Order: sequence, then structure tokens, then C-alpha cells
Amino acid sequence: MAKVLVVDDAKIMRANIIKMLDHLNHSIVGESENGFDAIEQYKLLKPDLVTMDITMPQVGAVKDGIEAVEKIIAFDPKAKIIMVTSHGEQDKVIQAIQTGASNYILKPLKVEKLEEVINKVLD
Amino acid sequence: MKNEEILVKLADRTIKYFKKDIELPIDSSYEILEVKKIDYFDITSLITLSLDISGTVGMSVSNELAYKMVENFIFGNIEEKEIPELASGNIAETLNITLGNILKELTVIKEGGNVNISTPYTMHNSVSITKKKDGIMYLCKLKSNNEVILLSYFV
Repeated sequence: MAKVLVVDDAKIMRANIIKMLDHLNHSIVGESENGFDAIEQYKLLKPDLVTMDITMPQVGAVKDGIEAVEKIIAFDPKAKIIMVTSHGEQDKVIQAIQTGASNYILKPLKVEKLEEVINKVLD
Repeated sequence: MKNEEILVKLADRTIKYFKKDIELPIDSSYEILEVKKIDYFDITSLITLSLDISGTVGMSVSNELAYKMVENFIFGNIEEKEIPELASGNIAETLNITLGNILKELTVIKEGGNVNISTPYTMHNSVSITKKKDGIMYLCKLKSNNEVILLSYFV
């Protein structure tokens, strides 16, 4: 069981991921709706895993999910972050992986796929 | 890119999304119409495209259909009282996902063009938008049982 921080600006996406994580017996330690808050929550909660949306509104100096990854990795180089993205964002996924994200999952999410990606990342 | 190409591809992806991703009934046939005015339904999400493609893409549905879409989108069970507050976000997310999925298939992008996709803007209540003097405006109606999913593209 992993402690997970769920980051997405869309409440329905957070609700959906949380229900899936709960089903997979993971523990949700926090939710964030922007990259800025995600960084603060990460430092505070030290989760085992983060699910991170890529496209979110800019808050403070954090433009999107990729910049949040960059700052979380700078704080904790061993952070495990799964990017949540749609098909049209391949270039951004590559950028996120280069920045330090561990893996990615495509929307719309399927619980089986989420489980597979989480297992890969936590292994 | 023909003006209606984006709406054809979005309609095809929306049909697939309903059938495979949220498992709601939807007719496979549709028509793309050039119109002068669009009357949207209860919940409407709009996304603006810029750079090599410009224009605004919309998805609009009734509250009833939006609620069904939430029930089928969410994994597992959801309490009835939770559904209304998630409905508009779900339409925005549906448009975001389906539009994101089809952008790379558009002729302009295949030929090396770039597109910027805005975060969705959601409107509540029925609103109407009229075509600009030199603009273009297309509409597509998809049917899910007795409900209609209205897709639009205007510049």
C-alpha cells in the first residue's frame, strides 16, 4: 500500500483517481488542484507516489504539472511521479519524463492500467 | 484542413468515447451543418485553439445527460448528491480528452503545424452564440437515446 498525493485541476479527475486508488488499497494522503500547492503538499506529506496532471492553470511561479515535477524532483530526487495525460500531449510527456517523472498514464483512465503503471513505478 | 475536419474527427472520437470509455448508447450517424447561430444546452464547455489552427470547439449537453456521463465516468459507485457538482467538470474533461486525442490526426498538424489548446471554459444555462460577420460556424448533433450531444466549432 502506497501513500499517494493526487494532483489535478479537475475535481472529477481527482475523484476518479481517488476511487481507483482506494479500490487498489492505496492510501490517499492529499489532493492538490495546481502545481504550486502540489509542491507544498509534497514537502509536508512526503508521499510514496504522486499522480500529476500536466495541463493545469498557473499558480504562483508554477506554470503546469511539468514545472511542479521539476521542483519536486529538486527537493527529492527519488520522488516517484506518474503523469496523467491525454493522447495529444506526447511532447509534454517526454518533457516530463526528462524532468524526472517516473512514468505516465493516458486519459481516460482504466483501473487495470493504473495498477500496472503504479506497480512498475513502485518496483 | 477543411473547415469541418476538426468536427468530423471530434464526432468520431466522441462516439468511440461514449461506446467504449463510458459505455453509454450513442448513434453512429451524424451530420455536420454550417449554421449562423448555435443554441447551447444546460452545460457547455469551450476550448480555444490557437497557432496553426484557430477557433473555438464546444461540447454541450443537458443536465440529465451530463449526470449520466458522470455516473459512467467515475470508477465504482458514486452518491447521487455528488453528481451535480461534478457534471460540468466532467463535460470539460470529456472535451479535453476527446479533443486532445484527435489533434495529431488533423491535416495541419500532420503537415508539421502546431496548435495550442486552452484550458476549458464552462458555461451553465442555455446560451446562444451567433456567427461573426466573416466567421464560420459548424454544428454536429450526436444522439444518445433521447438526449443530444452538441459539438460545435466556430471562428
